[in-house]
Amino acid sequence: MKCERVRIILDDFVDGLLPEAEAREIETHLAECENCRDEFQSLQALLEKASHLPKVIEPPRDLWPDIEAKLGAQNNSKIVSKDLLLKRGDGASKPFTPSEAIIDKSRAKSWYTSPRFIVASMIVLLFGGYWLYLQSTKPSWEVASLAGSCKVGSDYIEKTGRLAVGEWLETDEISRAQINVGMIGRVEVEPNTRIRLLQARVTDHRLDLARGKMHATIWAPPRLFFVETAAALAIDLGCEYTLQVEDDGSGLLHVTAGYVALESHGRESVVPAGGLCAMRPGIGPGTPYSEDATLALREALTKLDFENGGTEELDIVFRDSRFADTFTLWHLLVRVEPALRPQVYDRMTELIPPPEGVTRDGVLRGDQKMLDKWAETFGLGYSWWKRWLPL
Amino acid sequence: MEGEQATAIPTFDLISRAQNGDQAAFEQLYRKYAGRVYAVCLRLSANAGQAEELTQDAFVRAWHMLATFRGESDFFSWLYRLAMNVVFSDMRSKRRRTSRVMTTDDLSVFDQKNSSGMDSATIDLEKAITALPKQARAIFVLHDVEGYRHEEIAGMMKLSVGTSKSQLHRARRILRKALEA
Repeated sequence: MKCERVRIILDDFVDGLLPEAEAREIETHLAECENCRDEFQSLQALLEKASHLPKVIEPPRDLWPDIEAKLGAQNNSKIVSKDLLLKRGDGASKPFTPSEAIIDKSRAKSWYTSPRFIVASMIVLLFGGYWLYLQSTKPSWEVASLAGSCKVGSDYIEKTGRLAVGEWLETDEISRAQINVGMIGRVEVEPNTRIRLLQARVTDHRLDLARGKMHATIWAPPRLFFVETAAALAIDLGCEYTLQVEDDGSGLLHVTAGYVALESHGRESVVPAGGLCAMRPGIGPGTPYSEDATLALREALTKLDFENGGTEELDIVFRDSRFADTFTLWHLLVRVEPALRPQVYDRMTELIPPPEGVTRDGVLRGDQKMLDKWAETFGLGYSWWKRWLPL
Repeated sequence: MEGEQATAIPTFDLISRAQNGDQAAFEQLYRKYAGRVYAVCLRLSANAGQAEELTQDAFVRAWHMLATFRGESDFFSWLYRLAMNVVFSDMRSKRRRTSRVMTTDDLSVFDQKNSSGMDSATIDLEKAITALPKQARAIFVLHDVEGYRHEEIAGMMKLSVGTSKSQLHRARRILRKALEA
């Protein structure tokens, strides 16, 4: 079991909510992994402290006089005094008791037949009708429940419903849903996901993925479908992909067809089919890599992208990179410090020589036209989508 | 939930008398449970003044609802649920637009001597809880302090179980960071 997975289900583990087999896997992992063991112990320490918080905190002053006054005031209020004060045998009025109050509600005057109530109801109906009309004209996308019942706004959807602009769709641990992205595609929403519709315009189909996992299948031209996350903006370039966002805002993109671009904080990553890309809030997208990349290469990229990695990590990338990893090296060309770029350039030329017109000096000074031209030789097709103008 | 404590007059007698309109009996029930109700109102609202109002509202509502208590459950559990409904109803109505973060004066409530006593680590945790986002705070208090299950919390707060779990995860993460800082 990977550390990432352990961190996600550690809460369920300490709460005793995991199936036995999975709990054993966690125990095994904790015995071997010091970092996760530290997390576990920190969580246990917190729960220990929480369990010792006092259950009783006396109010700073005696609240009974105020409560008593409220009870007296309500017993004499217009709601209860006239209708609910009971005439005793001796003819004197006496405040009702709780039991009597319940019984006497049935004897209350039929307020719903009064003219004032009827007029108020008509006003409410008129405004309600107008509000419903406005809702029906608000841009929205169709939602279908795939498993369990998902929540849209404050309503639970058992079969189908609508997700309006500004509304959140939430799935719990067993529910899944499908959102039809206007006329251009669909998004499957996995359990424990929170997602919001931001725009539903012809030229801007936009979701906000706060947490959880979604699979998008889009059959529209590039740059019509966007997903905002805490770490980066995912721009569809005609594709199929999975996007996952953790509670802390970090995320992972996995492209299965076409291309997806990630943008944030001045960083830009283009991920082709078969590629993955991690992202972190405050930093943006990392360097994309092939799904076949070695574990050492992935770990080295994590350090380079998010943890101040340097030459040691770069050497690992050079050692483990193959032809399929040229798009990873291509991204590194402009991301590593200028002093390290010649090494990246040299390793790239070993895997795929630059085409005519692309020079070492040009690439090292970051000439975008040369970089794009080189990218086209290994199928990244980087420049075409930037030039694409949406409808 | 915590069971009832032995008192000079058995609780069921007090309940029975209160159901028949005996406010003196109801006052004794208040004195018995005020600390428990106030504690959870304080933790959920993170505001001492608001906690006092919520505690009062909870007991006023309890008085009016006493007839519905049939003794099938522990009286305190019934009262506690009712208090929770008051708190969450208040949160939803947004009638009280007070800050979710306690003032310095409010925090002094946790420095007062109470039946359990508090060491500095406990006070640190109480203060960190008050700084949590509203929903995450409520779920942490209900789950990790009061011992409710996610299904119960989801029912009370009208959320999904998944939301309850993720908010608890978020609260724990924030608290661990705050306490380790």
